[in-house]
Amino acid sequence: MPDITPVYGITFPCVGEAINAATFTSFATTMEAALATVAAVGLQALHPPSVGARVNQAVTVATPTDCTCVEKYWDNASIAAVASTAFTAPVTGMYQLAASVGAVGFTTMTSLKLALTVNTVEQLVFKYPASTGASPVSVNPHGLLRLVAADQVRARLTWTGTGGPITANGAVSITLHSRLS
Amino acid sequence: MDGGSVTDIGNHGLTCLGEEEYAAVALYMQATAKTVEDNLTAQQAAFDAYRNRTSILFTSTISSSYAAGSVVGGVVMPDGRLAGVTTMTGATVSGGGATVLSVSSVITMTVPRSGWYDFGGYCNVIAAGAITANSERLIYTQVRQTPEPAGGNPLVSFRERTIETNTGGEFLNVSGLVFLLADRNFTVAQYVTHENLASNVVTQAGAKIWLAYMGPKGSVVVNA
Repeated sequence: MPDITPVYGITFPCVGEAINAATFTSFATTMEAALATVAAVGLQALHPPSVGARVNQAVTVATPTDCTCVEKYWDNASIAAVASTAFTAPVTGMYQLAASVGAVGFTTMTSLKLALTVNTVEQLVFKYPASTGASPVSVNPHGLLRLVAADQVRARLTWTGTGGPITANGAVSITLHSRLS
Repeated sequence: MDGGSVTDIGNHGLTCLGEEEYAAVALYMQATAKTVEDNLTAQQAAFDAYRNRTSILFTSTISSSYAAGSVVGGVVMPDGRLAGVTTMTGATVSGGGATVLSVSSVITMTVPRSGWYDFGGYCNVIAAGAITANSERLIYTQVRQTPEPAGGNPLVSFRERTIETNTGGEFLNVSGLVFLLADRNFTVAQYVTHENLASNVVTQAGAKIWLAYMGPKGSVVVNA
């Protein structure tokens, strides 16, 4: 009767046990599985789920609008999708989030607000309080948030002033910082 | 395994049997399995320490207006994992005067390992009533060693101020890097103040403070 190691289940024969080809097959197979398990953990450590994407959106005055992903710079966990506004957490954990969006095309702007929402609830918000004239302005919320697997993050832009619709262009990045296990 | 013609392989404690040791194949396989298991356990622990980097996030859960000078303890959701941290207090601000500091959230803690930490805070403040035109809103977050050396200063103090000129409140964000030693106690604090003389200002539920381990001392290089 073979025995197994306690953590990874590598099988090995006990002393006095008949050893045959199946013994070696089991030994090698279970050791391969153990190596694969730890290799997968190492891969997660070296390459945590992460996305960086460009967003671009026309936004009408006083109309909260989620920015649309138009290009993914990188995405190793299918967090974002081109033409979608949602960034979906692949696993539960603590994430670092950042967004930066600039606006052009207004006549006057009295506020520009960018909110990182989680399941439509504002969590991190940056608001540019006021601007006179038509100079471009940008907003960039960032921070650490706990996300549950399948939570949806969006970058919601709102502005007040005159003119427009503005063209909002920027980027959103989300990276898993630590798993909650 | 001891004795016979057993040869060491590499530097992970693995061995190879000589021809005259084939009778000990079972014992050899057992020893090899356990050696591999020990090595994998150590490797996974190292990976886990990296992929589960220390982080802590506090989010206030109260939103209220208070009389000038009052400080209130709040119900708080501790959300994360860091030794010695259980509560965060305070999430309201009272009206009037630049010297009023009535949001006070002080946390005493230690960190499990020395290194660079991303330290930040966030708060949304909304006037309860009338707005004093162009009045200031200010947030600052600090890390201090405790007990603090005589004449000591905060290890870091991050601030942001903004001016409220219209309705809808203001959103205050601060963050930066701080190097923390695992063998010291320190406090983390967040304060909000304002100059809205026309009415109280209310910090909204959802104010945040966070610390997130970024890496050891040698991971950050500053070019002169």
